[in-house]
Amino acid sequence: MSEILRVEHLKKYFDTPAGPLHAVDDVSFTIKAGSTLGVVGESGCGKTTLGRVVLQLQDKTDGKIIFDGQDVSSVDKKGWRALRDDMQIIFQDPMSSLDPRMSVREIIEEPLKLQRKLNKEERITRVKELMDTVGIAERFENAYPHELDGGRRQRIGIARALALNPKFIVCDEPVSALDVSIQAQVLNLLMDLQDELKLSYLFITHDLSVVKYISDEIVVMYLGQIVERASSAELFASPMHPYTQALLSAIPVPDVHAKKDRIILEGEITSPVNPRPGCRLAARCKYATEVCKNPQTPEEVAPGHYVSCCRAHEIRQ
Amino acid sequence: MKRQNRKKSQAAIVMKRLFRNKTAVIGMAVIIILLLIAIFAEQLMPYDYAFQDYYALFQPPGGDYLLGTDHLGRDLLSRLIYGCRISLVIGLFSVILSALIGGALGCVAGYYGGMTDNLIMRFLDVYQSVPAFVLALAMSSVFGYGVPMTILALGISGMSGYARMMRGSIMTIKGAEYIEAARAVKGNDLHIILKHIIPNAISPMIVNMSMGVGNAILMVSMLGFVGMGVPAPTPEWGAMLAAGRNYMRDSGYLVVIPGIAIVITVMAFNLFGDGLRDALDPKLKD
Amino acid sequence: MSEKAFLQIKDLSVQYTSDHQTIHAVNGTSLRLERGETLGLVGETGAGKTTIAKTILRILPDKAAKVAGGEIWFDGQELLGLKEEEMRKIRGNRISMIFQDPMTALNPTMVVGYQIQEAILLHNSCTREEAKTRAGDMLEKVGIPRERYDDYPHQFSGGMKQRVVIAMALACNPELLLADEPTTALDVTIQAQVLEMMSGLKKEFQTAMVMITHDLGIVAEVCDKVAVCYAGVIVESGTAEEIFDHPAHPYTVGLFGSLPDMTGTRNRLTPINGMMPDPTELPSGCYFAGRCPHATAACRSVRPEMKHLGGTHDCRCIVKGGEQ
Repeated sequence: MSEILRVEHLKKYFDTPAGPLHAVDDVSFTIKAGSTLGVVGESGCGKTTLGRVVLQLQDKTDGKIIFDGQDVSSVDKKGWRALRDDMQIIFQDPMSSLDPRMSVREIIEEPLKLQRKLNKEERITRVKELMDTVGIAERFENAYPHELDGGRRQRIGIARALALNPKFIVCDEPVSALDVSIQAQVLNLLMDLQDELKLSYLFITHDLSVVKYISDEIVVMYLGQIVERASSAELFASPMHPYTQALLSAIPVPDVHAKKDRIILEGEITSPVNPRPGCRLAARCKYATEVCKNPQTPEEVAPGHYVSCCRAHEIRQ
Repeated sequence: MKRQNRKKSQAAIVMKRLFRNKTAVIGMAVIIILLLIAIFAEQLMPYDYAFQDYYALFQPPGGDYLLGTDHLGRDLLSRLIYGCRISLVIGLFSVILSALIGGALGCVAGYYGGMTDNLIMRFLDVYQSVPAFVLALAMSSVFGYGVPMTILALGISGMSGYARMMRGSIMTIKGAEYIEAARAVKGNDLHIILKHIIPNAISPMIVNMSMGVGNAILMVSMLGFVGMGVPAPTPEWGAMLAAGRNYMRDSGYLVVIPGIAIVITVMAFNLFGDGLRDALDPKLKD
Repeated sequence: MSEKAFLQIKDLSVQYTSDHQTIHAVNGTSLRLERGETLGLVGETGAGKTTIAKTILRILPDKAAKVAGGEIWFDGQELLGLKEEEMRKIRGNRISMIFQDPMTALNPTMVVGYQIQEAILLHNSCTREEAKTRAGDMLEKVGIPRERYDDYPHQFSGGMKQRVVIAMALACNPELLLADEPTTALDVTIQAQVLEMMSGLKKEFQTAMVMITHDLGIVAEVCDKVAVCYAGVIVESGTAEEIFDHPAHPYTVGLFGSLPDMTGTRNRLTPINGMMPDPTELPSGCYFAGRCPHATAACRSVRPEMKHLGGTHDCRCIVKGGEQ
């Protein structure tokens, strides 16, 4: 399989009064065409910023982005507008990502209008087609977002992202705001669309069960850095990084007979403002020693399984 | 949810909601009557507003002259009717002018932020440190008298409020996810401002404008009262009030009647504006 | 079963009215809970879970909400008929509530310790000093050092704030705790900390708890009994084992089918089709009939009664109930 996206040493720092905030700090990964890379982490780990920077909705501080074989790191604003045909995004909160003063049809039609390829009639046909694809009945075309429920709103968000026939979509927590039964409907839709339209996803979420379900490969982020990367099955079967282990053991399992040998992380997430070199989990990690104060580099512990923890091998034993 | 298949424009929804609010409907009715009076002033005036009947000075209300005559024997009713046109024209156009200039400034300041924002806002700070009335007074002495000049003076002096308001709402809207979404589907700055930001920022502006008309009419009256603004013999309500002031003791109606006209107009616009604010909220259920 | 439980809700119905519309939020809900037990009240947005909790505490908005019928018995007392002053003695003292968003429950202008101290003083006759000591104890119980007594809410992170709220709720040693999605706003590792702490405290104080949540994982972890709520009606109830091992109602089955399986691999989910009925126009038969794969003509016309399936397992379904 060919690569659709390669990100190398991507950095995004925000200036704050206390110093630079390392929202995304030296992140590298690749996504194979037609597959899904899940990005999982807790609030403040930089996963949302990562999605925005990959699409250049926010400027990056440093690093390389290669999309479909083309280095797009130094492409200007105009060039990026052309790239938006192929790279799209689905947002977390379908209420705030849809303009409250636009009807369903206007929202889905907007990208087509801006693309200026289709005439009015063709656009209307395409909007109907898209509404059909994502499963919104035609009678809703003149409804406004606040008149619809969460699931339908998110379907509109998906239709808008699909309008330009993209190859790659960043899904930023697309089901977090939805109820379980609706969440399942939307997840199934996203997977069907992937098969049908050969889409690649960067799927950002805090929900481990969702990320396991939808991803081929997963990266775990903590305070702006990737701490572990592996295929979905591998990661859940043998998590190596102490953070991943804690994260996995913290998920409440809907099974009354499940064993509960939980690893509780001490304390709370620290701030990524002016971080010291070295492992960022060290302060909360029960395995932390002096060596953890050195910068961590990803190490391949199994084929395709990378861990940024210098004590990963010792912990395993 | 069942009504969704029916096409309905937002304007229709707003009107429907507006009509449910009784005070707003009263305000709107008064405004429509005032507008009709202003449009058909010539036909409605029983006499020429400038005609001086030297045999009938200080006629009290009733008799030949329905609302009496002033110190020059001019029919008060006719002057009031024609004055309605002057006051409304100045009120409406000066507010539109303020909103356009102020709105544009606020829009640019709010959307681009940073240095641009700083420059515009500091300029407005200086501008606002002078009381609006004094500013309007200074402007009309610079621009000269007459209706267009008064509109210009009031329009420019009133803009900073609109600029601040527009900037505030734009800064909120700018952070909304649907703006980012629009950028993701290739929207450029102009498209985003015109299609997303302005439609969402406009409703507080409209509300403020409808209330601003009342305020502008008061301002014209005040300018007229101190002898600036519209020159005699054009019957502007404030000027009428000012002229009547000298004869207040014996002929109180010369002050009371234009005063009531001003109060009713200002109130009508405020009531209407209040109702409009509620009606324009897209998230309120109908 | 005729004997009254510690907390017993009988046929509770609550309606909201807004602009000529009546929203049927709770439609004949019955629940029972004994001392020291934890009941998981599960359901999706709009199922009426929060309304039930607010009705128990009688903190529904006066004008908009109306209790249309039913009884709430708490330790032999009927709460809905109590005078407001009597209710005030129970609220916050014998029954406490934890809200989803900790920020709404804390006053941003007061130090947290003082807020807990006030809660204690309000319901107990003790001196300011005693209350202060006890507030400090409570902070330590929820895992916050006593030294942070004089910190303001904004100086705490989300998880810490929720701990403070829990400390406040438990400060008066309530007999019943209503927890409305207490960990939904928290990250999963912090949620694990808070749940662990809550289970510990529950054992220590022998508090009965109603845990309102949409997360079946949390229910499995902390609850003894489960009631599944749909469109303001309890559709299935029983012990956690009964519900998780033998879900009977099609809605409960659907909820489990909607969850991505943590043990399996990438399989298709089997979601529930459609959406919850509009609470202003509820269907005449079973509320779930429109989404149910087993629905028959009878389901659409007859409102099903609660059927006993054995043990404490009850299910409100005419097709599936008692079939297994």
